[in-house]
Amino acid sequence: MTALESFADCGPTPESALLGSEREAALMEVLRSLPARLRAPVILRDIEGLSYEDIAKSLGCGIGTVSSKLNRGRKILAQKLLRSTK
Amino acid sequence: MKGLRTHWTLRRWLSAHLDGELTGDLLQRVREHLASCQVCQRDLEDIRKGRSLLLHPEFFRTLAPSTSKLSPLRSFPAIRWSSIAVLALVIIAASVWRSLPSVHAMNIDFYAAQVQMTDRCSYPCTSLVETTLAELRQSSPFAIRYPRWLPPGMVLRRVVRYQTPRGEGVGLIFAGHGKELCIFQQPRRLDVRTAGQRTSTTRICGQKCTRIDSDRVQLLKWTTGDFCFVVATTVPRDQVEAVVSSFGSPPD
Repeated sequence: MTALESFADCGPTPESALLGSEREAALMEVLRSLPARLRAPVILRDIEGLSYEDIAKSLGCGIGTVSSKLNRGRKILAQKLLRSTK
Repeated sequence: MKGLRTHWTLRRWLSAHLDGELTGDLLQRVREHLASCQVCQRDLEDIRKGRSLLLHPEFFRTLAPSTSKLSPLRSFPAIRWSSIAVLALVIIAASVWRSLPSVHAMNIDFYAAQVQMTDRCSYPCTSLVETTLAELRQSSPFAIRYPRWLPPGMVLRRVVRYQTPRGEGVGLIFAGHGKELCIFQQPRRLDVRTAGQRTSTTRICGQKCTRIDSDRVQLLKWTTGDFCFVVATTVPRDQVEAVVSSFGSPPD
């Protein structure tokens, strides 16, 4: 499928309908709640699936910094999950 | 004191360890430290939970307020139930992965906003700077393509560059007779997504284009080779199509 075709089909798909807008909204809400400096590495790693090396290049920092930011970003996500399920 | 320093040095690598990114001596040191440090063990567990939130979108069910909880099927043998659960998770994860819009996709409103010259630079756009055509020719990340035809009276008013984590795009903004014509070019990998508007497919001089419904401006998008083009404009429809047609062949 070309990017153009995927763009043309970017309305609701059966899969996204199945998912429901609530879950997608929750995803965006959780990601938005992260500080910007932590959001980028979390998105690049856990959603985009980039390697640490690629993330480091993309953000102009070291691999250790990527890992450190992922630590903090993921811990915040875990805390939010915990709070929301209590 | 040395132990404390080791702790602070190694705890930053916990995510990398969890993701299997560590090798050699560093991996060994982190493993050894984890075996004896309860603080890092707790940290690692929290990090694992946070990662699971994104890697296993089923967790979002717990965040969605009106989603009902699954009732446990206690009569199922445990082994069968766990197999079905794993299979269901794999299927759901695969479909979710395919259907989730890229968080790096440029929202179509970004392009529309440039017509109003608002300089709005919304996520995932990290910077939007004005430049000149001369500078762009010297330092552009790719060969810029230009329209071979413009509506009468249109002149180049602005040149912009926008940056996202996925790549850089450029915009040529023409104006004349109270109308605006913005032409954006960016790598194909930098997706464009609509913000709920209806889209339709059309052909202009054989070029397959996507037209996006918008009250304020006309929005068209098409892909050629490794690049994606977006036009946002207030000029009449026939003139927009003439501009798009003029992109039909590669520039000299």
